[in-house]
Amino acid sequence: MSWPAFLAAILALPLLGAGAAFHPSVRSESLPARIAAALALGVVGLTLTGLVWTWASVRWSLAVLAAPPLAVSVLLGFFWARRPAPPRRPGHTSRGIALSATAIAALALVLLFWTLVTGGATSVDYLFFWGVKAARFAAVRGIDTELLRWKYFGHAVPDYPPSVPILQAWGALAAGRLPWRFVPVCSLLWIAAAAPLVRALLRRRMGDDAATAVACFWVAATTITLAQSYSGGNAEAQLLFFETLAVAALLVEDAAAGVSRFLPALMLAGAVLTKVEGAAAATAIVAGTVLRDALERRRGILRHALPLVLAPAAALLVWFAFQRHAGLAVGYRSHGPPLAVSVRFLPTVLGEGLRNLDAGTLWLSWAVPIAFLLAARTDLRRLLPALALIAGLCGFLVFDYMHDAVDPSQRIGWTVPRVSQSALAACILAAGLAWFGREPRAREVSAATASPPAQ
Amino acid sequence: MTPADAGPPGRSPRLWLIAAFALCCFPIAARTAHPLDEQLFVPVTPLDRTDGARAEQWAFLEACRAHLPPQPVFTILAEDPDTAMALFMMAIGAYPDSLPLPTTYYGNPTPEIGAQAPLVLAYRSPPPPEWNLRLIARVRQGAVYARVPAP
Repeated sequence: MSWPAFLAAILALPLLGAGAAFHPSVRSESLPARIAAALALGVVGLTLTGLVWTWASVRWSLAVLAAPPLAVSVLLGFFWARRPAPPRRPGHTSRGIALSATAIAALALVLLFWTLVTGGATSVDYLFFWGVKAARFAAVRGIDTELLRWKYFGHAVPDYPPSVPILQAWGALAAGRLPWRFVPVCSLLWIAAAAPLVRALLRRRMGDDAATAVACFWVAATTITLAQSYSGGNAEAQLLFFETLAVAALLVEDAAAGVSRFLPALMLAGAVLTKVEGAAAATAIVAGTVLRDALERRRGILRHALPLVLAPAAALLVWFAFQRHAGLAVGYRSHGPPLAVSVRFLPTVLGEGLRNLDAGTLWLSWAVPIAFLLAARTDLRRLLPALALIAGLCGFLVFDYMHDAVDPSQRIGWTVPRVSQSALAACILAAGLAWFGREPRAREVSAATASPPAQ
Repeated sequence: MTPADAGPPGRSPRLWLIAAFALCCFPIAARTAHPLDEQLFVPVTPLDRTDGARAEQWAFLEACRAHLPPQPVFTILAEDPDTAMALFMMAIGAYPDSLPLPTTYYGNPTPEIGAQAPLVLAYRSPPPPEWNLRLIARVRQGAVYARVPAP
């Protein structure tokens, strides 16, 4: 029985990044929320370590893989723990809301668990390449560059970033082999881990009850769409974790200059190392954030954007440098020449695209946040980090599908339910903020300074 | 809730919770549409409920495992190129210490590559007689063969 050891290895990932839990921007949050931040740093650290050790021809073992991220994390943790952090805000969630939200989120997670454990949401790609790479990486105790270069391994998209196979290989090293039937169940953990941090971040801009309710809706919508899109065992849940938390952190940040962007930068780096779409999403999120900051006339926009650009860019460069070192094709393959677009496919792309956005709920998962978004009649500028992700992802997909040489209907049916999930998550967060959100703190301060309160 | 925490008036979080519960009704309805014994069926392969054809193919690979030596080098025959491709892709992971050699790749015949494999896994498709194979074992949905060296 190999799954308990695999599960233990996956559950140990936050230990590898425990230092993140002590970063001043996270330290005041609840323990589960801090564990989510630690998980993100652990995953990024483990992925980079896997790449570096393979580059240096060091054979992987649990200790060899764990030591560098653990050491760096501990050092960072000691450094961060000495820096001041904002005081912890006491919770005010109503008992009824807390109980209802916990029950609904637990129900959603149990339904996803049941679907995954009974093999009802396993991704075929997990058996075709995600898990395949993991099993081979674990067998050779490193990234199997010879396999990635092999002419007859082209189906396994060797250019895809390596985080998911490295994580699964890490579990396989602990378990002795890849527990094929169990690995998809672990997709659930990404949602369960992200939920407390989503709620914690939302609390910075809305009441506790509202943050709890929006986070609960996010859990319900994402668990259902993960199951419906057969995302067990592939990269989707991990990508959803990173992109959701990046968007949430940027949506709720204070307008004051100097606010830390450690958390969103870390999440964007994680997204870029998880999937090709992570790079497109990171570009859209950063563009939306810079545009929002410019439109809101925030100070130090470019300097403040640097961490958001540098962290994912550095992660991507490490992967591309590894590709070059390993003799792989450097960069990502497109589905055709960039300008060879078939406009005749546009009606098909739009029609099939919309049809496949039902998210397992007859479009209700989309309809609810869109309705709140429209009804809120809010200033859309402050939602730009999320809206840019939605627009960027949809634009990227339409552009990509229009490159197909044949009718893309089948490919749209296979991929849209999966790759649209981050946009759905962003839509939920944007709608929650539009419906419940307060203005950024700096604005409150300046408004209060400009006009004294009425006596 | 403190006044500072309160959201805009008239905007109740309960609406979001009701909507979240409504979402959960979709998978519940989908679940209850199937008989209980089907719900309680323990899957044998990771794909039993998502792709029956691939599940059968995975089960075939699992059945062959007992009849393969360590670090096997094999090729896979199947009734059609798509099935052969799927089996080839899955075999690379199912046997992490193996070297599967394709006889077809994405529908393109690669007999010169597959012919280098001393073992043949035949899925629902008997190998051509001229291949001169020795049966090692029959398994569910197929058989494992070894090439007989030319005299």
